[in-house]
Amino acid sequence: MSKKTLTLMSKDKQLFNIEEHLAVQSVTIRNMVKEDGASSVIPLPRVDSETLALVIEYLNRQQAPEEDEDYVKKFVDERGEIPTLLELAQAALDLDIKKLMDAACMKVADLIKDFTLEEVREALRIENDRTPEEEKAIRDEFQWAF
Amino acid sequence: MLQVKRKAIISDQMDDRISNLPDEIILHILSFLDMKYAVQTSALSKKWKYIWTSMNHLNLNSRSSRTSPLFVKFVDDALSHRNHLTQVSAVELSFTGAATQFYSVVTSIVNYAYLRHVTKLTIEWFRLNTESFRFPDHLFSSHTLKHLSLATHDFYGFGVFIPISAWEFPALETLNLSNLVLKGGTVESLDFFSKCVNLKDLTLHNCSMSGLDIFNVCAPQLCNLTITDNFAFPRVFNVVAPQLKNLTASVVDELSNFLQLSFEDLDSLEKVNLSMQRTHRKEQTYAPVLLDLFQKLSCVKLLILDERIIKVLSARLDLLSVEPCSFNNLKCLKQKDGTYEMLTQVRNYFLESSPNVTFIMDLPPVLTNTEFCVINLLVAKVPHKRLRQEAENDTMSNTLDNEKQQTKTVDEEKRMLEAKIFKQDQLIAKKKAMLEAMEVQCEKRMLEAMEVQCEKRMLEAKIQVQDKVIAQQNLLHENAMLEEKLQMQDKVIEEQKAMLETLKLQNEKKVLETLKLQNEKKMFKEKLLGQDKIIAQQKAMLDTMKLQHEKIETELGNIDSCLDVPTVAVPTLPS
Repeated sequence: MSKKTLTLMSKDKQLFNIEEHLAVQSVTIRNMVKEDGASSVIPLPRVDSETLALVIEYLNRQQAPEEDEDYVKKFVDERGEIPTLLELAQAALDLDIKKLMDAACMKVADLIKDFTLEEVREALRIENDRTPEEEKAIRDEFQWAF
Repeated sequence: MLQVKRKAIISDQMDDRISNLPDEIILHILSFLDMKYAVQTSALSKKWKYIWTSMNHLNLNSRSSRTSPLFVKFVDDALSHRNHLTQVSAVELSFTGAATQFYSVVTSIVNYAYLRHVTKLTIEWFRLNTESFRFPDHLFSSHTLKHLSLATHDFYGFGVFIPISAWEFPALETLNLSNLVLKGGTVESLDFFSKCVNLKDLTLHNCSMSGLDIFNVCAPQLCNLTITDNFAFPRVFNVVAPQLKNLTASVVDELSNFLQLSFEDLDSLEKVNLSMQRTHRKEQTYAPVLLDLFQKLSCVKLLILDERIIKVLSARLDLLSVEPCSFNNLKCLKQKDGTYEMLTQVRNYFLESSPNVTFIMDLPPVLTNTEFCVINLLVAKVPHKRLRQEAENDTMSNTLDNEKQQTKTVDEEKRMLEAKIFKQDQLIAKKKAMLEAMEVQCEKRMLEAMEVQCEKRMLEAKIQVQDKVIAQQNLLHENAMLEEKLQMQDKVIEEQKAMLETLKLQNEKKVLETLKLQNEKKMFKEKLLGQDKIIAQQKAMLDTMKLQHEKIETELGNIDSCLDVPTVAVPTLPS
């Protein structure tokens, strides 16, 4: 019996094949397969091809259940760039892959936990849209945490 | 060129995507960070101001605040500023400080989280002093809590109690208790878990049950039970857990009493992992109780024993030869920690009732793979020897047959056999030498491992000392803070005194003024009265004057009439 294959399409219209029994680790895909048998191509309009390639690599892993936790950690460790991790988290959120989402977010948290606010803004590309006075007002409002 | 351009576009898009991160991802990242840090992200940008208020996983650590009283205040502030529509799924608390502050922070968290259907609560307390402590009763009643972990760490021994009445945790699945006292006053039998009907994992680590007669674990869903490194067992540790699959236990404690497990219906037992803590008594005295325990675990499939237990059994071969082995379902026996070789008699004891059992020796991590193979050979030595002997017997009988048929070749065969035997002897000698070398290496490694352990212990001790120093510094800090507070309060009191004095003065002035006014009022009244009198007098005078006036007028009238008489009425004068 040949294994059933699904085709996923990234935002930039690239196609990726993956065996169905591996793809259904994604709850989103599992629900699609249940609904209409997912005969044609599954479009993923918010995931670019580089990130989707990573997700496919992750879904294709062949790990024993007890080694899986370590594998996921290592997987995100090796891709320790914050932008990549956030893209992965976004894809994991869209595809509903909990372990990958957890690991990616945990890694980001781990990377920024000792950052100053200015460094966090830089790492997460956040624009400070407050004047110095407004920022001071926030610090005063939550002064018990600063 | 084109490629470069495309890359640039992609990374621009990427930047864009990141800056528009959905709240869900931001919240997920925040849930792995310390709560204080999470609140501080409110200053990042306008969008971030209230994101933290919807986190549903709170990590609270007193190390994030300068002093523990400040931390208690931080927790109250943070909880009261949260978005009250969001639920809380998990709260982790790590607290270093005094009992009163710990109690108040635990109370705040429990009151807050239990109302919002928390499912996971982890509490860890680094104690700084010896005062005894009891967790608040309402901590032990929640209809949503699935995972609870309570642990204390201290340098002072025990003194942290938990309420002894049955806990109301109908949804609880995992419970970890570490370094706690599980007993209560004069109560002899405890049954904490009778209302925890969904309990699946129970771990009691480093707990004390001294003075307790019976400790009951009646949990219909219990799968995993771990009882390790406990100080003082009850007389009977009664387990009713028909679903129990895995049992991990260290069976002896420092006060030399043995874990007396009493089980009922353990049909689904699969894995049992037994170890023995260090003991002052001679190990072999434990053999009878150990065999008794084996009886209760008879249906286990995978049995893991540590080196000490194997030694205990090896020391009482006499018992093993008399008592039949109770395991009737054993598939695998694993020896962990250490390189002590199981005696054939012990091995046969287990083989006797389960002939297909596999023996595995779990080696300390310092040994390499090749050495592992050698030890495996050692383990498998007994059956190999047997096979070889059988083979030799076969060849012997063959040669006897040949002798009858081909008497000429006897000498040759003899010579060949001798040569073979010589070769084999040589081989055996070589292997012996190799084995010896390996053994030497093993010993070396063991020594190294021991050295490493020693260092580890030293480091641990160091860490403990440093922790103590930190704790002391914390205390000093708290003292300084308290002194500051006192000074502040003194100032406030002085200011208030000054204010009071000025107020008093003002009061006195006012009183005087009112007195004056009252006096003046009286005077005026008196004046008024006087004037009234005068007026009355004048009125009276006026009246008399009027009367006089009238009199005079009438007199005048009379006079006038008299005067008129001569002209008008003289003729009619009556006289």
